[in-house]
Amino acid sequence: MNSGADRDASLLRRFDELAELAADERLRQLAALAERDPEIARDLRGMFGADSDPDGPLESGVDSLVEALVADEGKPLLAGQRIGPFVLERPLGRGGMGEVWLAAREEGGFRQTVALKRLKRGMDSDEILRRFVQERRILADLSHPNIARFIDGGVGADGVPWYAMEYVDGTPITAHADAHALDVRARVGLLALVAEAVAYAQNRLVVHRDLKPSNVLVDAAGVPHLLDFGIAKLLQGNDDPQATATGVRALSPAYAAPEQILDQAISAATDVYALGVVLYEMLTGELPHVRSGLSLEALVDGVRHETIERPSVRLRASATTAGDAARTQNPRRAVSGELDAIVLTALRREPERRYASASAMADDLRRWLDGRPVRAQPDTATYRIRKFVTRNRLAVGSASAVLLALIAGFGTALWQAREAQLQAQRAEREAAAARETATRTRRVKDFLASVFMQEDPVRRDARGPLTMTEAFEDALARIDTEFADDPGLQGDLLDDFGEIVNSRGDHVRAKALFERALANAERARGMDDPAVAEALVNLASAYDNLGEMERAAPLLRRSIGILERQVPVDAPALANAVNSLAVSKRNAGDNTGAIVDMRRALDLLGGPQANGQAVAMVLYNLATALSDAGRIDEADPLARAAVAAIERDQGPMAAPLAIALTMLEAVAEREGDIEELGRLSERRLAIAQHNFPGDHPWKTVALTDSGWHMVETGRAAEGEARIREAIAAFDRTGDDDIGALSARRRLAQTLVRRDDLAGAAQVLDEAIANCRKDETLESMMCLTIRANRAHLAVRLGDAAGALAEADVVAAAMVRGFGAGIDEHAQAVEARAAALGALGRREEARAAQAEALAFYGQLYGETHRSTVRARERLEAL
Amino acid sequence: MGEVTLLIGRARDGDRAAADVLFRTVYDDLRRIAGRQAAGNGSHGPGRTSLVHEAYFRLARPESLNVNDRRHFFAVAARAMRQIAVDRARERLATKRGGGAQETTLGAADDALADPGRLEGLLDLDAAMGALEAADERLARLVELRLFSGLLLEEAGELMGLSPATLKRDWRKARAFLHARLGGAELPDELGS
Repeated sequence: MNSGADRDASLLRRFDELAELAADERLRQLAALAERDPEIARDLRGMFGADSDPDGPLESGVDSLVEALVADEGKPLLAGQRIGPFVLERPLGRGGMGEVWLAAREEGGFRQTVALKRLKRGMDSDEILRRFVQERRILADLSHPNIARFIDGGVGADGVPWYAMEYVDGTPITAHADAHALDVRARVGLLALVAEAVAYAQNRLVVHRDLKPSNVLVDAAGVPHLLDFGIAKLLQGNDDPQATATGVRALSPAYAAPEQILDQAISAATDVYALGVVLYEMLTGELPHVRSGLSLEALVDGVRHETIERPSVRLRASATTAGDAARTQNPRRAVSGELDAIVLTALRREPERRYASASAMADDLRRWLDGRPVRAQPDTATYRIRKFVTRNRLAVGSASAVLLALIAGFGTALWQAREAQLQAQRAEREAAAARETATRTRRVKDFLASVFMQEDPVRRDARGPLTMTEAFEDALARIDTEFADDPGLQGDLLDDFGEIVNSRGDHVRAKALFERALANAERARGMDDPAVAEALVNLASAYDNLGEMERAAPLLRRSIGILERQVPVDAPALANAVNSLAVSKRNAGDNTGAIVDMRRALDLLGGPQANGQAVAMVLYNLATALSDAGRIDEADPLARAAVAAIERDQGPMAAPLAIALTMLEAVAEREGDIEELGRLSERRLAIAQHNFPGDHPWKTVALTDSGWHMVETGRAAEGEARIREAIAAFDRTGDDDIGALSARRRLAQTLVRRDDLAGAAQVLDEAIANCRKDETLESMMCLTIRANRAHLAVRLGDAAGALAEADVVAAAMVRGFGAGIDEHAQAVEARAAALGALGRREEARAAQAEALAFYGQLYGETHRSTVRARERLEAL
Repeated sequence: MGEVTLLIGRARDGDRAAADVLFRTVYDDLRRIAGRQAAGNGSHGPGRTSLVHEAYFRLARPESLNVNDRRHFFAVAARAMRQIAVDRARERLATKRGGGAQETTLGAADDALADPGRLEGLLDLDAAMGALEAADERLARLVELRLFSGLLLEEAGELMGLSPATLKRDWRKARAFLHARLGGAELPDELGS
């Protein structure tokens, strides 16, 4: 704490003391204090002055200011300001979504005027931009005389999303109809035009979602224009289950269909409902229901119960208020009957009972205008069938239920079919982009083919057939010359070749290649390109492999920064970079930081349930990191998830399971579930045998482990045979020292079980000799074996030698790996046994109690290691 | 979802990285909710109570939070709200200094934002709270909860586990300290003599 803070703290203390006093006494003490410490007295005076004043900064509307700031939509826009390619000219208005400006851009002497909307801030800019990119083409392709064209959209330098539409100079449709005193026919005609425009968009699979009079402007020539087509979907998405409450409020409740308020599926019928509301309003001058100003809860409740009065009835009730007499010459007669039916059909609560699409509604409006019978009927087909079914319930049976479902589901089915069509269109556009990259791909392919086919006869003659390595080196050298014209592509190739070199273990050379790839990518594509991010990750992995962890981390951080700024974010690439950083942190000893990063990587990949090899890898990393951190409760479910992810992705016999299953075995081991342990190791063995040929170490390790579990579950002979087979395999290859030691240790334990103490001692001595040869006598495995050997020595009668060795081993264990771990406990038990044999009973009991406490802490009181340690203590 | 619950647990156990991630998450979420709500509500903002509560129900799984976690969440949310307000006030002031810009449209809420004095006042308050925090962390947390999370004073006290008497004393003390620091009235001299 600095001195200012110290002073303030004592100020606050003194305030407490003085606050308790009566006013005059307080003033007296303050005066006295002023003698000793005038400064603090002055400050206290200030505080009591503020205390007696009921008004102050905290009462002067901090609340409202904070509120306004939080809801603030950012820097005000100014005429002349540039947003995207447009220059703002004058404000047109301000709506719920944000400000609207008249803006223009000039290109080659051509001037385009647009209505530019800048959204309120706080929306998820990245997500919105991602959707812009996704939907832009579809929206720009909507070309209809009654639809204001979507022109462009993006996110401004200040991070606030904007979009531009064709500028329409007009008035809202309801206001237009009233201002021009349109009769019922003209009103219906106008709405039919609107419905046809909506139908056009729906045929292209775009639903408006936010139709309302202010989005339907009628120009001076009487032509309606629909604004903001498809924007609602851009802003809300349709895949965000969280958007529920706030999504509805972003709409206009008065025109929202029940399914929007109830957060159910949106379809073409959603726009039909809004058209129905607008028509109702145009016919009666009123909304069909009162919804504004209600809370979300009240809205939801209201929608479930609201009934709608027929327009003609509403007109009668409000005959006098329809002072705009022109709305209707003899309005009631015109509206009653068929128009009532059309409006009410559009406004049905269940989407499947409305017109299935705007096109069907437009058709009915045309029929009405032409004097033909409309399709909408107060007593609809569905309704009649339902009545029929009710009356003949037994006779009709299930067939009619199917029919009913078909009719009800038809609108939805149609919609789904269109969605599928949309996907196909999208795929086609992507194919076009793919053709572009294909050209580049072919260039690379030709290049690689030329390397291996050695098309150049001169070169072939000169050197004869090249080995694979020579061909590779040759190609690497040619990248420099042949791709000099395309440094971006050259960088990509250097990066790929670097990955090959890296995987061959030549990290120094890989590093050099990655460095060049990085420089190329930066030069050709800019500092913020994903290719730069990829090169950075690769370079970092080379550093990691070279043991220069501290150089890897900053590169990975830069890579992550680049990937985070991409729109749309390439989540798998970002997850890979974040995971790499986590691994680098873990290698550098920062396990906690690694865990946070790995969790993030997992989230990016879509959580533990997502598919893909990357998910399994991150889960595995995370589970082992958590396990190392002793956070077993968190580690176990992730270990299970990792195994499940591999199984899901690659099937039940996938090679990675040969490693991943060991995590589950560790869980079973800790829980003392020997049966499960046996099953798991058996499965691991089968997987290893299935996937790896010859004496692959993963196979041999599984052989040892499963053999040992057989021994433990009473199939000693079979188990011993497996372990001996494993030892033979290890000795043949000589490449997995720890595995070989572990197998010998298991064999010794097996021999002890059948009381072949001398045999066991011999096997352990072989193992210890190997340790000595490899100079690993103080490794964890060798210390454990030495502890076991000491324990055995006690039983073979050399208690004094055993005690000396056990002491040495225990000390080395604590020094190297810390006290209290399982292996340390084994050394302490050996010491206890030696002391017991030497008759030093009290010391022996103390040592055994220590070991018992270790086991208890590690595994709980009922684990077999703990139980056995307790039995040994009791026996001493 | 459960992630935030985990983060809260770890942040409370002193895990710096987790605390940073938690703050960032809450900060971003509050901004997002505020934007969405503002977009839906027309001119005026949503109020902080509903913001923080919505973040609370979205991010944390309330049923899995104990009292301490709940306290921690609201403390973090209040700090995030303070940060958002201060960041925006700075941004606004910078714009004004930069261009002397004129507001294009003015609503009730905008009046407050258009007044540089009030924005500077908020920044001063932020600084004074910094001094309070250095001298007495608990008082600063209480003020932060009261002013920025939208909780009533009693709710803030309850959340912090303060008795009504302690709450009253703490609030009075913190308020006097901040007001005096912000140039509030000094005790008139004639009373002092």
